[in-house]
Amino acid sequence: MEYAYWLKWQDTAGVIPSGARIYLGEECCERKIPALDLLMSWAWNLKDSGCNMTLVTPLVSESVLGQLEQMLDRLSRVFESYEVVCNDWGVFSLACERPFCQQVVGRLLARQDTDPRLAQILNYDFQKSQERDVRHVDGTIARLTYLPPPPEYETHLRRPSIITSTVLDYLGRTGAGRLELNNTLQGLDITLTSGWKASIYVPDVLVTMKRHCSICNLADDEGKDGAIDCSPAYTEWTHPSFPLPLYAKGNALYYFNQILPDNCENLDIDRIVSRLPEPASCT
Amino acid sequence: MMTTLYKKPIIAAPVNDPGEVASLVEAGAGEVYCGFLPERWRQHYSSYDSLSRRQGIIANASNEETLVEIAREAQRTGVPASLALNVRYSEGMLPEVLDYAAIWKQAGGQSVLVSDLGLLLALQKEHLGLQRYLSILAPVFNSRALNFYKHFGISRIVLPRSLSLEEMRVLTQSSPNIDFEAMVLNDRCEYIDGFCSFYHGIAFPPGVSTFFNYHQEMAEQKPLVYTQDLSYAGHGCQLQFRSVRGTIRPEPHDDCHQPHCAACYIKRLAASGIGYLKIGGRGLPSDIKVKAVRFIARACQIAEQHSQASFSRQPVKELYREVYGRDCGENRCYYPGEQIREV
Repeated sequence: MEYAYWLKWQDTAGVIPSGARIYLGEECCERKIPALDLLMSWAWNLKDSGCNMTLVTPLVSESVLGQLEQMLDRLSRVFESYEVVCNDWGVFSLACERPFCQQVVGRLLARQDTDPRLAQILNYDFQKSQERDVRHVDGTIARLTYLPPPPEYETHLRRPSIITSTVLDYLGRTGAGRLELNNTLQGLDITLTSGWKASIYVPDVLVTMKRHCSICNLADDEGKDGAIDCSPAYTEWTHPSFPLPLYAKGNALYYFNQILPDNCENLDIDRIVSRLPEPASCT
Repeated sequence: MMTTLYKKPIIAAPVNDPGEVASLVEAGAGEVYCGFLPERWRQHYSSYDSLSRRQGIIANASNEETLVEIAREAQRTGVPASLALNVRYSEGMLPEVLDYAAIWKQAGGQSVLVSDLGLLLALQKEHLGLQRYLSILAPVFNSRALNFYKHFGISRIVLPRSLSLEEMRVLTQSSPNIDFEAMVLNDRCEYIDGFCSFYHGIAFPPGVSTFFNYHQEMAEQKPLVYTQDLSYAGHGCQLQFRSVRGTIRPEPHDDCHQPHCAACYIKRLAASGIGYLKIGGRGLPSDIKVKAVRFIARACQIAEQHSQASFSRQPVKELYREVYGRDCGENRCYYPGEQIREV
């Protein structure tokens, strides 16, 4: 099992664990793509420390594609091999064309069900405890009764849709061989085709995102120069119908799940990606 | 630079009952789209948003006969019909989804709205003869992403709600041989459809009378209604969460009596290369859908009557007030950040 650390690229003085794989970048907000000079300074430091580099990229609009293109070209001059986690098929195709660049299917493209309430659907005791009377518009009072989901649906909830043999074969022909996964509360049920491996992110599970940041009341001008982390903290959101809190950060919502699946290696997961520093609510 | 050409866009209207098609077409719809949620699928994969993004049988054709009849009725009235098979599917689901697509084609359906790569590849292989439209659930934000999806034989793209009109223009200009569609009424959501994992279930709010199918099996002298999530309180985008900063208020709920609207942008949408205007709301009552189509059709006429230079939002805003009985307001606007040139 490989352990990878997703560092805050804004921290110029970040501690680099020697020889490790380091993730840098942003997956949800194009306005927080690393500033090129800062990223290159990281890149040279990583190379000097014998670290492997993975650049995480978000979905991007047309105007930002050129910026990423420049970034990949520069990185190709530093590393003989580096990874780019793509959360936009446009960026994926861009990465496919770059020498020394290994494109990785990001977790936004892997398409998993990550609403934490889905885990509750599978919780028999919890659901039975919620049975109650309800009133139809015709006046009939009926007993709301739990119907456990069929096995096919359970499997579906645990399986990302990118994992079908035809899709992996198609993407594999471009040279891709890795995908990134959320550690979903309902568990994972995956079988990868030959040549593919998966990474799992711990603890944050990405639930949803907006195009632009308003969740954390981010002012429009903050972070535009890319030099500061404009949304450093996770804000806890709770609702009685959710089994655990959500955490808002920037333009995205997450929940945390620190418990890894027991069968990680049987699932072709060979890498665990953790954020450093850990999200405050997890420490 | 904004081009001043205006090609009248086609209105795509939601339908879930064959009886609605003729009145929607009469009101101005140039095509219709629907969803499907048959009993067999519900037994295997729930009544939630597992076959299309709309849950339950109110927003979907609930059996094969209804689906076939929608396609035939569309053919009879001379408009194309699309079937939304637009969510993600795992491998075991694909044969059944393809089967539904084949039924749709055989009945006279023209196209399917798709977002799943596995389904796109399967449709390509099966040669069903259906046109493939890229659903709003497959977000395209740049021309490279658009080119990526072109490999799967798509002929139309429904653009994400969060694109600006200028971003739409850049995309449409990059691909002149693809058709583009944008949302203009109902169903606005602040989250990006294709990256949102809040599931769409069925809520049974306490103390509120609700539509549901109940079974006359007697338990404690009451009929039974089955569900897989008894604690479901609503779509995640509509819930009021609590945080240390207080209550997080979601965007105003979609309300068919004061819908989210882009009607006064139709002129600019058309000038930006949008040829198809989508009205959301598959689960709405028929009269509300007809009203929505009529409203957008009249807004298109207003757009047609004015040149870009003389176009003003005011007549469309007045039309909104006339049709819906209240002002549209900025928080009901699909593109609140856009600057409209007022005369």
